[in-house]
Parts: sequence; C-alpha cells; structure tokens
Amino acid sequence: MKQFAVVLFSSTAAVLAAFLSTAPLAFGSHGNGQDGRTNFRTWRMAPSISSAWDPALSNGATIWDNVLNQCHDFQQVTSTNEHTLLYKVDNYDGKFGTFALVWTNHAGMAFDGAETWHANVNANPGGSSLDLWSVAGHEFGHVLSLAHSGHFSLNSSNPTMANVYDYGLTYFRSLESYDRSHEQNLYPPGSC
Amino acid sequence: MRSVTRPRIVAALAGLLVAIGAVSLSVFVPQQDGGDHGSLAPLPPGPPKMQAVEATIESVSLGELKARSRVVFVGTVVAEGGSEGIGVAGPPESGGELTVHRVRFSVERTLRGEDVRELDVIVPDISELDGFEIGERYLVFSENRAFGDGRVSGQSPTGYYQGSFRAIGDNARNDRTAESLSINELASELRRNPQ
Repeated sequence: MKQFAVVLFSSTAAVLAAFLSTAPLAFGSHGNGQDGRTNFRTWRMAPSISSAWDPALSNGATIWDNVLNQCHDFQQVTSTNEHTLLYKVDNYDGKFGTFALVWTNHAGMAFDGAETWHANVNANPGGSSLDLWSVAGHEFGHVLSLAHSGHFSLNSSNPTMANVYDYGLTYFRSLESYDRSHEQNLYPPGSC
Repeated sequence: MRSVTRPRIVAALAGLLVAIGAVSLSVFVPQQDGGDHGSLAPLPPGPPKMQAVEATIESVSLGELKARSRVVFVGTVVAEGGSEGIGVAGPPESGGELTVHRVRFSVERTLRGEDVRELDVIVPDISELDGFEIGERYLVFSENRAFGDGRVSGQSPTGYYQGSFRAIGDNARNDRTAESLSINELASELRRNPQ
C-alpha cells in the first residue's frame, strides 16, 4: 500500500511537472502595474549592462504591452526580487551565430557581448551592428512563452518571433499579426 | 548461512553493474584505431547537457553556407559528448556556466577541407540547435568558432541548424529551412569554386 502511494505520488508529480513545463508563463498579481494593469512580469538589468541600453530594452518590452485586450504588462524594477534578469556576457560564441539567449524558465536573458549592439532607438543600425530594440523585443516574446514562428529566411514582413535575424535590420521592432494572435491565444482576454 | 549468502548476492550485483557499465562505455565511446590519421581522443563525458534555452540566431542562406564554410563533409554521428563549460557565467538558473557539447562524426566524404576519418563539431547547449542523432547521416557545413574565453574552439555548424542537412543517398535536406541539395552536384560546385 505504501509503495502504491509512492508510485501514485510520483506519477502525479511527473504529470504536474510536465504540464508546468509546457504551460504558458503565469503572471502573478503583484499589485498594480505601471499602467494600472493588475498582472505584470518584472525585469531588471544586471550591472554588466550599460544604462545606455535602457531605452532599447524598455522598447523591446513595451511592444508586447500594446496588444489589444491584454491584461498583463512588463515592468522594469531595480530590486532583486522576482524578475527576469537581463545581462550581457563577454563572449558567447564570437561574432555571428547566436545573438541572444533566453532560459525558458524566464529567469535570464543574455546578450552576446561579442556582437556590436545598436542601442540608439532614434536611429537605424548600420549593416554590421545588431538592433538591440529588435532582439530584446524577440526575447521578451520568449519570456511570454511564445515560440518561434517557423520563418527561416529574412523578410521585412516576418513576425518578431521569426527564427532568424540579421545585422542592420529593424523589423522586429514592431509586432505582426502572427505575434499578436499567438500572444492572445496564450493569454486570451478575460483570462487574468 | 544468511550472513554468507548476502555478500555473495551483493558481489554478484556489483559485478553485473560493472559489466553493464563496460558495455555502455563500449557503445558510447568510439573505438580508437591506433593513432591513424583522423583518430580523435575520447569525447569528454561531462554532466548531462543543459537545455531549455531559446535563442535568436543569425540568418545564413544557402549561398552564404557555401561561401563561408571552411569544411563541408558527409558523415554519420557516432558519439555525443557531455556538457563543457566555456568560461562564461550563465544566468541564475543556468547551472552556473554556459556550456557546449561535441558531436563526433565518422566522415564518409569530404567536399571541402582536410580529409579526415573522424571529426568533432561543437554545438551550443541550446535545445533548438541540438538536431543531431546518433546513427544518422548528415551533410554538414562548418566553420571555425571559439566559445566563451576560447577554452572550447573548433569546427561548428555554420548557422547551427541551418548548416546541417539530413542525408539519404545523394539527397540532403534541411527540414527546418526546407532547402534540398544533391551531394554530388554540391561536390562539383565546390570543386569549381574552391575557397
């Protein structure tokens, strides 16, 4: 009987763990967000990131706040409590290759310091630098549990959640219908 | 009687475990061939790979794969190593350090680069970039890449999954990018246009 109880408990725990690993991120109700919404996800910048990056990173988060009927919000904080930590690594895989990473438990977002990052939100990047606003927008989409869209070639009409990107581009700065509809599928109006 | 039997059972079980371990090792570690050209040291065992990561990666077209890759080969995956730290700290829940792993190929045909019998390629421990399966045959475009502080460097698929094609006979197909190639035609093209 005791063994049966252990097996039952283990099975239940395994099923629960499998569900949680695939379930969209649950936004907690931690009070009022900056625009009065009641559910928000906090993020902060590690000391490895220059304050000059703040506008581009904030814009990357904000593009997801403007989706119709959404009841969640990203909020930047400075405390070390619940948050997604954004930071820069010295050199992940050199120039080219991987630009940025997000852990699917949403605890960390890393930007490859080997790349030349364009942080000016009032100008477009040159052909050899990466638009920080764009890449941050894509990674914040992952923080919302959005997967890649399956677009493997470059096209200015691609969604922000396309699989690949390149130097000098800015089209991830704004969402496409794919991004909006998938966000609304994960977080339908009235679900929070 | 009982006190004599139990140690024998324990010893027998221990022997069985050692035997299973030896068999497993012989399956996962490729046999070395006495130092012939192309023979590599055993892959580092390492801890299980860290996964659960999504990434934004550089777009690499087929034309760029052909132009940029220093090594192009057809081979079968014979082994996969464990995680190796690259000397770069990860986020709080990454396990401490960012990691990569090696995938070993038995090389059947080199279309560009030095002719070797075996070749390791390095793949970041990012779940969506990990597309190689032991026993499967691939056409791989690769380039030299250094990770982190340079502790781990060597050949790595160009554009990661964009540079690896599943090969069946003369046909090579990348299911993600929907690109298809004839290996023989590619070999001719690379001969005509060497780097």
